Amino acid sequence: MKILIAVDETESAHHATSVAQKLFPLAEHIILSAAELPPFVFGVALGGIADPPSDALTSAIEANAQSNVAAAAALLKDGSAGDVEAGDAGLVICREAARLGVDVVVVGRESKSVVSRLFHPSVSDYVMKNAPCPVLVVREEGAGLPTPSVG
Amino acid sequence: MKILIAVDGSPVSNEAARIAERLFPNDEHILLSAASVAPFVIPDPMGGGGIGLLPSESAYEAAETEADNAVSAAREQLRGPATSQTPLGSAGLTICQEAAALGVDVVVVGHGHKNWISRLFDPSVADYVIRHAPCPVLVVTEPR
Repeated sequence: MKILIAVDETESAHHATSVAQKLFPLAEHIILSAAELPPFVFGVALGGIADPPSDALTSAIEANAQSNVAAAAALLKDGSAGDVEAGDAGLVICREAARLGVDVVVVGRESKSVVSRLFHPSVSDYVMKNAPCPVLVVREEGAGLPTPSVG
Repeated sequence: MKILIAVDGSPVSNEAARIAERLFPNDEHILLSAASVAPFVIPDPMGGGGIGLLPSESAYEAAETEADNAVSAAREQLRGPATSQTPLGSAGLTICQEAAALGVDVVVVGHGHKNWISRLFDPSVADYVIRHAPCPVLVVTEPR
Protein backbone atom coordinates (compact mmCIF):
# COMPACT_ATOMS: atom_id res chain seq x y z
CA MET A 1 0.00 0.00 0.00
CA LYS A 2 1.27 3.47 -0.89
CA ILE A 3 0.57 6.49 1.29
CA LEU A 4 1.31 10.01 0.07
CA ILE A 5 1.88 12.40 2.98
CA ALA A 6 1.62 16.04 1.96
CA VAL A 7 3.62 18.32 4.26
CA ASP A 8 4.50 21.95 4.70
CA GLU A 9 6.19 23.74 7.60
CA THR A 10 3.15 23.77 9.88
CA GLU A 11 2.57 21.87 13.08
CA SER A 12 -0.49 20.21 11.56
CA ALA A 13 1.70 18.67 8.84
CA HIS A 14 3.97 17.14 11.48
CA HIS A 15 0.95 15.80 13.31
CA ALA A 16 -0.47 14.38 10.07
CA THR A 17 2.82 12.56 9.48
CA SER A 18 2.71 10.96 12.92
CA VAL A 19 -0.90 9.92 12.39
CA ALA A 20 -0.02 8.37 9.02
CA GLN A 21 2.73 6.37 10.73
CA LYS A 22 0.31 5.18 13.38
CA LEU A 23 -2.56 4.25 11.05
CA PHE A 24 -0.49 2.80 8.23
CA PRO A 25 2.67 1.48 9.86
CA LEU A 26 3.39 -1.10 7.18
CA ALA A 27 2.67 1.01 4.12
CA GLU A 28 5.15 2.58 1.77
CA HIS A 29 5.35 6.26 2.73
CA ILE A 30 6.03 9.00 0.24
CA ILE A 31 6.49 12.52 1.60
CA LEU A 32 5.58 15.35 -0.73
CA SER A 33 6.18 19.04 -0.25
CA ALA A 34 5.18 21.59 -2.86
CA ALA A 35 7.59 24.42 -3.64
CA GLU A 36 5.07 27.17 -4.18
CA LEU A 37 6.49 30.17 -5.97
CA PRO A 38 4.69 33.46 -5.55
CA PRO A 39 2.55 34.28 -8.56
CA PHE A 40 3.81 36.71 -11.14
CA VAL A 41 2.73 40.26 -10.46
CA PHE A 42 1.41 42.22 -13.37
CA GLY A 43 1.93 45.78 -12.29
CA VAL A 44 1.70 47.44 -15.66
CA ALA A 45 0.53 50.76 -14.30
CA LEU A 46 3.38 50.82 -11.82
CA GLY A 47 6.11 50.31 -14.33
CA GLY A 48 5.72 47.19 -16.30
CA ILE A 49 5.33 43.53 -15.82
CA ALA A 50 7.08 42.17 -12.78
CA ASP A 51 10.05 39.92 -13.16
CA PRO A 52 9.64 36.23 -12.59
CA PRO A 53 10.92 35.11 -9.19
CA SER A 54 14.68 35.37 -8.91
CA ASP A 55 16.87 32.30 -8.87
CA ALA A 56 17.71 33.01 -5.24
CA LEU A 57 14.06 33.06 -4.26
CA THR A 58 13.34 29.91 -6.22
CA SER A 59 16.15 28.00 -4.60
CA ALA A 60 15.20 29.27 -1.14
CA ILE A 61 11.67 28.02 -1.63
CA GLU A 62 12.93 24.68 -2.88
CA ALA A 63 15.29 24.38 0.08
CA ASN A 64 12.38 25.09 2.39
CA ALA A 65 10.33 22.33 0.77
CA GLN A 66 13.28 19.94 1.09
CA SER A 67 13.59 20.71 4.78
CA ASN A 68 9.85 20.09 5.24
CA VAL A 69 10.33 16.67 3.71
CA ALA A 70 13.34 15.95 5.90
CA ALA A 71 11.45 17.00 9.04
CA ALA A 72 8.59 14.65 8.17
CA ALA A 73 10.94 11.80 7.27
CA ALA A 74 12.45 12.07 10.75
CA LEU A 75 9.02 11.31 12.24
CA LEU A 76 8.63 8.06 10.32
CA LYS A 77 10.08 4.87 11.74
CA ASP A 78 10.96 3.23 8.47
CA GLY A 79 12.46 4.82 5.44
CA SER A 80 10.41 6.93 3.14
CA ALA A 81 10.72 8.48 -0.27
CA GLY A 82 10.83 12.25 -0.53
CA ASP A 83 9.32 14.26 -3.33
CA VAL A 84 9.54 18.02 -3.93
CA GLU A 85 7.52 19.43 -6.77
CA ALA A 86 7.21 23.00 -7.91
CA GLY A 87 3.71 24.37 -8.12
CA ASP A 88 0.50 25.04 -6.29
CA ALA A 89 0.16 22.64 -3.35
CA GLY A 90 -3.34 21.34 -4.11
CA LEU A 91 -2.56 20.77 -7.77
CA VAL A 92 0.78 19.14 -7.08
CA ILE A 93 -0.65 16.79 -4.45
CA CYS A 94 -3.46 15.57 -6.70
CA ARG A 95 -1.15 15.20 -9.69
CA GLU A 96 1.43 13.21 -7.75
CA ALA A 97 -1.25 11.05 -6.16
CA ALA A 98 -2.43 10.08 -9.64
CA ARG A 99 1.07 9.66 -11.08
CA LEU A 100 2.28 7.46 -8.22
CA GLY A 101 -0.97 5.53 -7.93
CA VAL A 102 -1.19 5.95 -4.17
CA ASP A 103 -3.93 4.40 -2.04
CA VAL A 104 -4.38 7.30 0.36
CA VAL A 105 -3.33 10.95 0.54
CA VAL A 106 -2.75 12.32 4.05
CA VAL A 107 -3.12 16.07 4.58
CA GLY A 108 -3.06 18.23 7.67
CA ARG A 109 -5.67 20.85 8.23
CA GLU A 110 -5.49 24.04 10.22
CA SER A 111 -8.47 25.48 11.97
CA LYS A 112 -9.51 28.68 10.30
CA SER A 113 -12.25 31.18 10.62
CA VAL A 114 -14.94 31.40 7.98
CA VAL A 115 -13.53 34.65 6.67
CA SER A 116 -9.95 33.51 6.29
CA ARG A 117 -11.21 30.32 4.68
CA LEU A 118 -13.03 32.42 2.12
CA PHE A 119 -9.93 34.33 1.11
CA HIS A 120 -7.47 31.52 1.48
CA PRO A 121 -9.27 28.24 0.89
CA SER A 122 -7.53 25.32 2.43
CA VAL A 123 -5.40 22.87 0.54
CA SER A 124 -7.24 20.03 2.26
CA ASP A 125 -10.56 21.19 0.77
CA TYR A 126 -9.07 21.22 -2.69
CA VAL A 127 -7.43 17.82 -2.29
CA MET A 128 -10.59 16.29 -0.86
CA LYS A 129 -12.52 17.35 -3.96
CA ASN A 130 -9.91 16.55 -6.58
CA ALA A 131 -7.71 13.69 -5.42
CA PRO A 132 -8.04 10.42 -7.32
CA CYS A 133 -8.09 8.42 -4.07
CA PRO A 134 -9.38 8.61 -0.48
CA VAL A 135 -8.00 11.49 1.59
CA LEU A 136 -7.16 11.31 5.27
CA VAL A 137 -7.71 14.73 6.80
CA VAL A 138 -5.83 15.27 10.06
CA ARG A 139 -6.51 18.32 12.14
CA GLU A 140 -4.05 19.96 14.46
CA GLU A 141 -3.46 18.00 17.59
CA GLY A 142 -6.08 18.70 20.22
CA ALA A 143 -7.87 21.11 17.95
CA GLY A 144 -11.27 21.54 19.51
CA LEU A 145 -12.67 18.32 20.78
CA PRO A 146 -16.26 18.15 19.71
CA THR A 147 -18.50 20.30 21.78
CA PRO A 148 -21.82 19.30 20.34
CA SER A 149 -24.46 19.92 22.92
CA VAL A 150 -27.82 18.34 22.80
CA GLY A 151 -30.62 19.30 25.12
CA MET B 1 -7.64 0.10 16.11
CA LYS B 2 -11.27 1.17 16.00
CA ILE B 3 -12.69 2.37 12.72
CA LEU B 4 -16.04 4.15 12.64
CA ILE B 5 -17.64 3.92 9.20
CA ALA B 6 -20.47 6.39 8.68
CA VAL B 7 -22.97 5.21 6.08
CA ASP B 8 -26.28 6.36 4.63
CA GLY B 9 -27.10 3.80 1.95
CA SER B 10 -25.72 5.89 -0.93
CA PRO B 11 -23.26 4.40 -3.43
CA VAL B 12 -20.47 6.58 -2.10
CA SER B 13 -21.04 5.37 1.44
CA ASN B 14 -20.85 1.74 0.30
CA GLU B 15 -17.61 2.71 -1.39
CA ALA B 16 -16.44 4.15 1.94
CA ALA B 17 -17.10 0.81 3.63
CA ARG B 18 -15.24 -1.01 0.86
CA ILE B 19 -12.23 1.30 1.22
CA ALA B 20 -12.28 0.95 5.01
CA GLU B 21 -12.14 -2.82 4.62
CA ARG B 22 -9.26 -2.56 2.16
CA LEU B 23 -7.18 -0.08 4.19
CA PHE B 24 -7.95 -1.43 7.65
CA PRO B 25 -8.68 -5.14 7.11
CA ASN B 26 -7.69 -6.33 10.57
CA ASP B 27 -9.20 -3.59 12.66
CA GLU B 28 -12.46 -3.31 14.54
CA HIS B 29 -15.23 -1.89 12.36
CA ILE B 30 -18.23 -0.02 13.68
CA LEU B 31 -20.95 0.91 11.21
CA LEU B 32 -23.00 3.96 12.04
CA SER B 33 -26.06 5.25 10.25
CA ALA B 34 -27.97 8.15 11.72
CA ALA B 35 -31.74 7.88 11.76
CA SER B 36 -32.55 11.45 10.84
CA VAL B 37 -36.08 12.72 10.69
CA ALA B 38 -37.24 15.93 9.08
CA PRO B 39 -36.80 18.96 11.36
CA PHE B 40 -39.70 20.67 13.00
CA VAL B 41 -42.06 22.38 10.64
CA ILE B 42 -42.38 26.07 11.32
CA PRO B 43 -45.80 27.11 10.07
CA ASP B 44 -46.51 30.46 8.51
CA PRO B 45 -47.61 32.76 11.34
CA MET B 46 -50.08 34.46 9.02
CA GLY B 47 -51.71 31.16 8.27
CA GLY B 48 -52.69 30.60 11.86
CA GLY B 49 -51.39 27.07 11.68
CA GLY B 50 -50.27 26.99 15.27
CA ILE B 51 -47.01 25.65 16.56
CA GLY B 52 -44.54 23.36 14.87
CA LEU B 53 -45.20 19.70 14.61
CA LEU B 54 -43.14 16.92 16.02
CA PRO B 55 -42.23 14.30 13.45
CA SER B 56 -44.78 11.55 13.49
CA GLU B 57 -44.18 8.10 14.87
CA SER B 58 -44.11 6.73 11.34
CA ALA B 59 -41.42 9.24 10.35
CA TYR B 60 -39.19 7.85 13.09
CA GLU B 61 -39.91 4.31 12.01
CA ALA B 62 -39.12 5.10 8.39
CA ALA B 63 -35.85 6.77 9.41
CA GLU B 64 -34.86 3.79 11.51
CA THR B 65 -35.65 1.36 8.70
CA GLU B 66 -33.59 3.46 6.31
CA ALA B 67 -30.68 3.49 8.74
CA ASP B 68 -30.89 -0.28 9.21
CA ASN B 69 -30.89 -0.77 5.45
CA ALA B 70 -27.86 1.48 5.08
CA VAL B 71 -25.98 -0.59 7.65
CA SER B 72 -26.95 -3.84 5.89
CA ALA B 73 -25.75 -2.54 2.52
CA ALA B 74 -22.42 -1.44 4.00
CA ARG B 75 -22.01 -4.72 5.86
CA GLU B 76 -21.87 -6.53 2.51
CA GLN B 77 -18.63 -4.67 1.78
CA LEU B 78 -16.98 -5.98 4.94
CA ARG B 79 -15.45 -9.42 5.29
CA GLY B 80 -15.36 -9.57 9.06
CA PRO B 81 -17.99 -8.89 11.69
CA ALA B 82 -18.91 -5.33 12.53
CA THR B 83 -20.98 -3.79 15.25
CA SER B 84 -23.53 -1.22 14.23
CA GLN B 85 -25.37 1.76 15.60
CA THR B 86 -28.36 3.68 14.33
CA PRO B 87 -28.70 6.63 16.68
CA LEU B 88 -31.48 9.17 16.27
CA GLY B 89 -30.25 12.57 15.25
CA SER B 90 -28.47 14.51 12.57
CA ALA B 91 -25.72 12.61 10.80
CA GLY B 92 -22.82 14.98 11.46
CA LEU B 93 -23.61 15.41 15.13
CA THR B 94 -24.13 11.72 15.91
CA ILE B 95 -21.00 10.70 14.01
CA CYS B 96 -18.83 13.10 16.03
CA GLN B 97 -20.49 12.18 19.32
CA GLU B 98 -20.03 8.46 18.77
CA ALA B 99 -16.47 8.93 17.56
CA ALA B 100 -15.72 10.65 20.86
CA ALA B 101 -17.73 8.24 23.01
CA LEU B 102 -16.15 5.15 21.47
CA GLY B 103 -12.68 6.62 21.24
CA VAL B 104 -12.24 5.59 17.62
CA ASP B 105 -8.97 6.07 15.74
CA VAL B 106 -10.46 7.06 12.37
CA VAL B 107 -13.84 8.07 11.03
CA VAL B 108 -14.54 7.06 7.43
CA VAL B 109 -17.12 9.10 5.51
CA GLY B 110 -18.25 9.25 1.92
CA HIS B 111 -18.31 12.60 0.18
CA GLY B 112 -20.44 13.14 -2.91
CA HIS B 113 -19.62 15.62 -5.61
CA LYS B 114 -21.81 18.67 -5.48
CA ASN B 115 -21.75 22.03 -7.09
CA TRP B 116 -21.26 25.00 -4.84
CA ILE B 117 -24.88 26.08 -4.85
CA SER B 118 -26.22 22.76 -3.62
CA ARG B 119 -23.34 22.70 -1.14
CA LEU B 120 -24.48 26.06 0.17
CA PHE B 121 -27.99 24.85 0.87
CA ASP B 122 -27.13 21.32 1.87
CA PRO B 123 -23.68 21.37 3.41
CA SER B 124 -22.07 17.99 3.36
CA VAL B 125 -21.80 15.71 6.34
CA ALA B 126 -18.15 15.16 5.47
CA ASP B 127 -17.42 18.87 5.82
CA TYR B 128 -19.06 18.93 9.24
CA VAL B 129 -17.26 15.81 10.42
CA ILE B 130 -13.86 17.09 9.30
CA ARG B 131 -14.35 20.20 11.37
CA HIS B 132 -15.76 18.58 14.48
CA ALA B 133 -14.55 14.99 14.77
CA PRO B 134 -12.08 14.30 17.58
CA CYS B 135 -9.92 12.12 15.33
CA PRO B 136 -8.59 11.95 11.75
CA VAL B 137 -11.24 11.61 9.04
CA LEU B 138 -10.83 9.50 5.91
CA VAL B 139 -12.86 11.09 3.12
CA VAL B 140 -13.88 8.74 0.33
CA THR B 141 -15.27 10.12 -2.91
CA GLU B 142 -17.15 8.34 -5.65
CA PRO B 143 -14.92 6.22 -7.85
CA ARG B 144 -14.23 7.91 -11.17
